[in-house]
Amino acid sequence: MDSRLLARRLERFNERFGRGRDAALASLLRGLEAAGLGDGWELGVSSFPERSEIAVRYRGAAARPRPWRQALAALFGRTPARACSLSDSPWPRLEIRWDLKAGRWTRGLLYAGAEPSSRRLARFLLAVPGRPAAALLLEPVAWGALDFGDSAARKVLRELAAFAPVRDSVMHWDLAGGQKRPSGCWSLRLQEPLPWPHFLGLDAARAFQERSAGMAAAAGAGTVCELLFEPDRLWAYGAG
Amino acid sequence: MRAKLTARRWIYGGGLSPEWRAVARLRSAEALSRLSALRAKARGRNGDGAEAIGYLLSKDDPRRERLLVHPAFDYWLWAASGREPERLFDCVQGFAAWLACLRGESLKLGARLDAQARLNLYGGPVFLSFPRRRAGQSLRLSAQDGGLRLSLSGAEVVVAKKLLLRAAGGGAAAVGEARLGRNPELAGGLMVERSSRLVLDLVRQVDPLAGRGLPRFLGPLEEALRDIREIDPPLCEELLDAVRMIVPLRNPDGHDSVSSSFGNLRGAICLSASRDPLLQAETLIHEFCHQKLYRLLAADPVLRPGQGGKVFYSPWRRDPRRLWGALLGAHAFLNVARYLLGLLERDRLRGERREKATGAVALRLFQIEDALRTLQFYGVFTEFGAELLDGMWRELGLLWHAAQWFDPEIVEVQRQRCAEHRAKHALGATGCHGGGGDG
Repeated sequence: MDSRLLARRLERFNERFGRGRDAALASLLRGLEAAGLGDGWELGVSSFPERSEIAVRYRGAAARPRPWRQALAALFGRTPARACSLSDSPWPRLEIRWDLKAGRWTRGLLYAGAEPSSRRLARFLLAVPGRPAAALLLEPVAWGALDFGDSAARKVLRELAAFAPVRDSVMHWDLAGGQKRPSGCWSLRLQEPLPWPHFLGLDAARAFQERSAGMAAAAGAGTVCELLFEPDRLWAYGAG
Repeated sequence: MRAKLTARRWIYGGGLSPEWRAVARLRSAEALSRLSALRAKARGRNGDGAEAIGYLLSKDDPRRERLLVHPAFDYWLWAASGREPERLFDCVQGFAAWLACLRGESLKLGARLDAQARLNLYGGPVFLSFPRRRAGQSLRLSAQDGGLRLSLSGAEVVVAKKLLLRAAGGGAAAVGEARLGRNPELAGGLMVERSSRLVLDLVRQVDPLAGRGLPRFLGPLEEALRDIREIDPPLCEELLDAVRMIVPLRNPDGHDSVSSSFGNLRGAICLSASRDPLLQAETLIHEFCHQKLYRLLAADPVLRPGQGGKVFYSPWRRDPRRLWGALLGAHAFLNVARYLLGLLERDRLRGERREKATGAVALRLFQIEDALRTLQFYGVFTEFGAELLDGMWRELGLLWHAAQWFDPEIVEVQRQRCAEHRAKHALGATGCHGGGGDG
């Protein structure tokens, strides 16, 4: 979706789940506008009820370096030391998590180039306020290769895959001192975007159930294209 | 061979996919078959016509494919197969000449100027106008290397390839005693046709757009097409592929808009001028959607045969309409509503226009729901038709989700408006018309 549509969606989520701290949201929206980036935005929504976090993710066409760095400075308050790759790649270039109630960013991800090839592995810089930047590696794996020890989870995900075919999964690895360690997170990418109202009706969306009316209201007719499983919450990313 | 069909891409725009192209080929195949049948007829009566048809049939290529589905050709096929075939039969020479020019091939044919002393190169945007005294005169035309030579009694006109293919739109250039005219074109190659014999034969209220009329007609349409491209790119792609001609209509009674499509001029949209690009966009989408469903019929009848006679209540009309009409209306307004929602979501409409568009969307959603209900109650569908209907219900559901941020008062006004219309024209809560459900 384009930045204008994204701004509308953010306003709706803020109305529903923020505390109406419009000044804080306006600050995020100004940052997005300063980035001058066009189409290619996605919105991520967390199932964690307390902090009402949302995420904005940009996977559009490669921007020119100067406005890109200016945008990063506007969003993060500083330009990261390491320049990020501007090559075309299927990975998002930038993700920011924003706490609607607190009115501040909680996490940033910058695409930092790929090794050995951009379609197999993606390297990101992970920035969290108050901590030094860390490296994160994302690795696609075939959907069928995942082993779900918990049978309830396996059943729910199989039913999801039957309803909304899965393209692949992505394993998330922490990189520290050259060592690759599981981060405890993984995501599932759908072949086709699934409308939010349909997603909310599935067992796989149970984590959102507590707020499903509000979610349906805020998400409108938007779509879900990726689910990110973190140890304590589920994120749903999508466009439109 | 029947194309495999995906319901969603026929409900909304799906771009120029292999499925779209496969269904388009069914239409060109149908045109080819009708053309072949006409050749036998022509041999006996019209030597030059038979030769022109022979040329059109002689080689298959993308240029001929485009010509076969041109709206002017659609009408010509209908007229030439009808009760008075001689009336317009000689127009086929114009099609053949244009195709030969595009291909850069040689072709020699006899032809005749029409009653306005014009020779139209049908399928393309150019025409040649001669002095009035030449009306009805015979001529020999010779296409070679992309150019054209016309030999009439006492005169010869040569049009070079460069001029033929690049003449300024909306203007005219002198070539010997003739003038080469070129119909204006909108972005995407959409031609505005006001004066050709074939179109004037069918469409009675054509607006010639004299003086400032032409730029006033074109401007809002250009803006409308830009907006459609931005909000719904796949739909715009399909529209510009399928619609080749815009015919301006008079609007003598001063309605907001007058528009129509004809079943024997497929690929043409007729509409009146308007200063409002939003209105023009809605009209273009609405009429294109009708044409899209008609195009689909070549691949699947959607409704099982035998249901053409019965009529029902229509939320859009006072008089009863057939089930196919309900389907056309629901389909077209789903796309129009989705487009308006796209504009609203992007804050492209402000103030009164925003309020008006919100009301328009709400009204359409209630009307679509009523029409789908009637289709579900009374229609018997093919397997694909049932998928299409199911898909339209689901898309309506999603549009209601997108519209939930509307001012409830605006929505309520439209709900009541629909309820009043139903109370007046429907038979209770049924889908039958209050004046009698049987046709």
